[in-house]
Amino acid sequence: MSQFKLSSTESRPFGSTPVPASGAPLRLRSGARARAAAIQTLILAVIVAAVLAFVGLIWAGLQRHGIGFSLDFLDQPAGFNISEGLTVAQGPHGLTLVPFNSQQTYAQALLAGLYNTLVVTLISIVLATVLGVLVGVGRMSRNWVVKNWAWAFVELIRNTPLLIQIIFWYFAVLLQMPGLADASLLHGALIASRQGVFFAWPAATAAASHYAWFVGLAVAVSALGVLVGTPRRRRVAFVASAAILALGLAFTGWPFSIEMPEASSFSVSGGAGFSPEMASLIIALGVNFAAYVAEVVRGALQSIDKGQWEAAAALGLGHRESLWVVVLPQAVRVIVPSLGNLYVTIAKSTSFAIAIGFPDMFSVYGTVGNQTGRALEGILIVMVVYLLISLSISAIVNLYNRRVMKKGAR
Amino acid sequence: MAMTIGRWTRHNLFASPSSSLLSLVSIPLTLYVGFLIARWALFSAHWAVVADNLAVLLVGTFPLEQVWRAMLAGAGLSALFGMTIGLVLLTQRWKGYAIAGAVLAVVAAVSYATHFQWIAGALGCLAIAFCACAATSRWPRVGRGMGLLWLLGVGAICALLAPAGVDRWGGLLLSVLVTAIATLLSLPVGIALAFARNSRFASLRLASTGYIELLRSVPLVCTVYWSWIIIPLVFPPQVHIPDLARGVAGFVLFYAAYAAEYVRSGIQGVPRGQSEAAQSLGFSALDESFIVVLPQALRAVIPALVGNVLDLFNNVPALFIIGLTDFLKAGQTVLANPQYSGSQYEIYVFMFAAYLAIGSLISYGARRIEGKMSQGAR
Repeated sequence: MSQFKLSSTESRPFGSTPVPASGAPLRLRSGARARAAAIQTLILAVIVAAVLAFVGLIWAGLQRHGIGFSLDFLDQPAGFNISEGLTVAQGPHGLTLVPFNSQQTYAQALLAGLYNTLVVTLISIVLATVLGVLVGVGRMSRNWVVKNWAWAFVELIRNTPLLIQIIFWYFAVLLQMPGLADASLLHGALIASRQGVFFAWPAATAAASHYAWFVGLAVAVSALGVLVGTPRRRRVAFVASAAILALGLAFTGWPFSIEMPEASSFSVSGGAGFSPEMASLIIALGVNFAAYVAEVVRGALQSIDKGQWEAAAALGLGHRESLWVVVLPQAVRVIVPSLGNLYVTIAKSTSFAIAIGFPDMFSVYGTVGNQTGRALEGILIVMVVYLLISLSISAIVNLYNRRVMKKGAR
Repeated sequence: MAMTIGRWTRHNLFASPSSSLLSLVSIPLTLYVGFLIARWALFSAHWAVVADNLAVLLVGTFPLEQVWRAMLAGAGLSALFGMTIGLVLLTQRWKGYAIAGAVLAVVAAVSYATHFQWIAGALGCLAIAFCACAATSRWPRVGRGMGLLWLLGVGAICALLAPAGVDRWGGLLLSVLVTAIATLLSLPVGIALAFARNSRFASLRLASTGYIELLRSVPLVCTVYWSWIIIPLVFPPQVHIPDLARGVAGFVLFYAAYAAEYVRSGIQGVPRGQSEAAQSLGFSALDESFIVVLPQALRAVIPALVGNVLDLFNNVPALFIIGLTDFLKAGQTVLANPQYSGSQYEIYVFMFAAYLAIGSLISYGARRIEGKMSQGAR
């Protein structure tokens, strides 16, 4: 019955090693090992050969089209303008962030795009998380109307493409808003116009530079408290730094004031704001991923044992307290890894910005590639940067996850 | 125990003071929003814009003298889609579906007779989908070779459409077709990657892991654009690769990585005893993987794979980056015409509704399969 024979030691079906007869198995073992090593080498050789052949073909194709491969274009002046975004430049005191202008290089143009990508990613992540947790909790609500609103929101968002949502927010919502002059809301604290969304924002006053010393001192005291250890000392340090901050206020006065946006006929001064492109991208990404966050939250809440609800009720907590104090904190451990994946997807999805003309990294790359003809070099750079962004988000989430798991395991 | 309206209201709307407050705010708000939407849809929207541009929305810039090809392709895709839905639902009410299909067919014939050619086409496709759904619900054994049927069907449809010029394909037809092609091609690649990642050879594992993690870390738009740039460089100059193939290659590369992760989770879910049993029966490594492990693994991850298809369908508009006219781009083309630029809400609502209908059907199917499997696996 040759078909029942074991073919090699590698695929032995049983966990325990059979007792070897002296001499022979040793040779068999080393033979199998040699064969495995040979296969390994062969596979490796095939993969390397395939990759090399692929690169060779691309190289030949580039030569055929007379383009070649070079990164020299990065140092050349860009000669085009980017509507918003900061880039890195040599300032009087080392490298600083400055607005991009057309005299700067292609590399600096890509950096301005990267800056825009990161800003949109960060704000969208915060918006999606806050909105998503609310909707996710809403889906578990005992109120029938709220529950169904949350359900309809999630279904509508998840079953339609993100790109059409971005385009809808931009062309059908933001660009349909009134002009700057008639767009003032909330007594001037918010201007929602087709030239952009502007809102009141704290601005530094003359006292700020003096107050900065107090902030520095407070941070130092807190850091010392954290380093020294014991929870008690840490608490003392935090109280002390809070006192320093309060004392500073008494000495210097408020370090910042709330500044209202002031609209003139074509521009806005004061406050803070977003261009219509950035605003619609942030809203679209935030709202879209809120639906996915909501599903993650709902799944996590449902995975928590019913006994937890019952125990909370037995302790006399109401439905809302049980949810926010007992169940949700436990659900966080289930939520965090999935949330990390969603954050990576948000960062990647900012590349749809090119559809509405927002100068994110991919969109700036489009212009650079068109002007220089270095499409391949550019896209490799862009892909590597996206890879780094994704990996850093995963790393941060993993770090946080480890902390959460440790806390839970106590 | 029948619940009276009063008790239902008290229990679901006014259970606590905070719930009552929420209800008092949200019910009038819901009614008001519903009223506004209904008033707009019934009295102020110009739906004629959608009817006038249905050709562009459904098939893009397809040459109109060869439109029968597009119609046949739509019919074929509807039949395949309907059959698959029927296999998922296995509804007892298949007669109802068949009657609905027949009624739709009659309406389609009437609108064809009254020269609403495109409405007739759309309704005819729906009719075919309903009838196909009824047929496979009634005779589920037809579905044995559904995978093969999809492969042959999509191949035949591509061959049917090709003479009109691949660069002229567009609209909703292109969106659905790209979804089908990319799914069919990315699944085998994904399965191979999943097995490679679980292989006992470290070099295979490394290569597969590297590929999957790389592709999952870059945006789809990047991958599509990259493949669009690369393909003409790799092929000899006398070979002309249409833009569509250059873009779809990016979709396949991208979604293969995601499919691989789902399949891998399925493979890891298959009990070790299964492969050990296969080995002790003398199966070769290949037979063990493909006859014993893979079918069980795939069965477990079908809902996730269907979710992947929905994701793909929702991301097909990314084709705009290489200038193809998919459904969304077709809608924007219509709005670029000054004559229709005032009717953007009608066009957007129509597109949202179409996407929502197809997307909800797919995700409903995924939920049904999931529900059925959790019943089976006690």
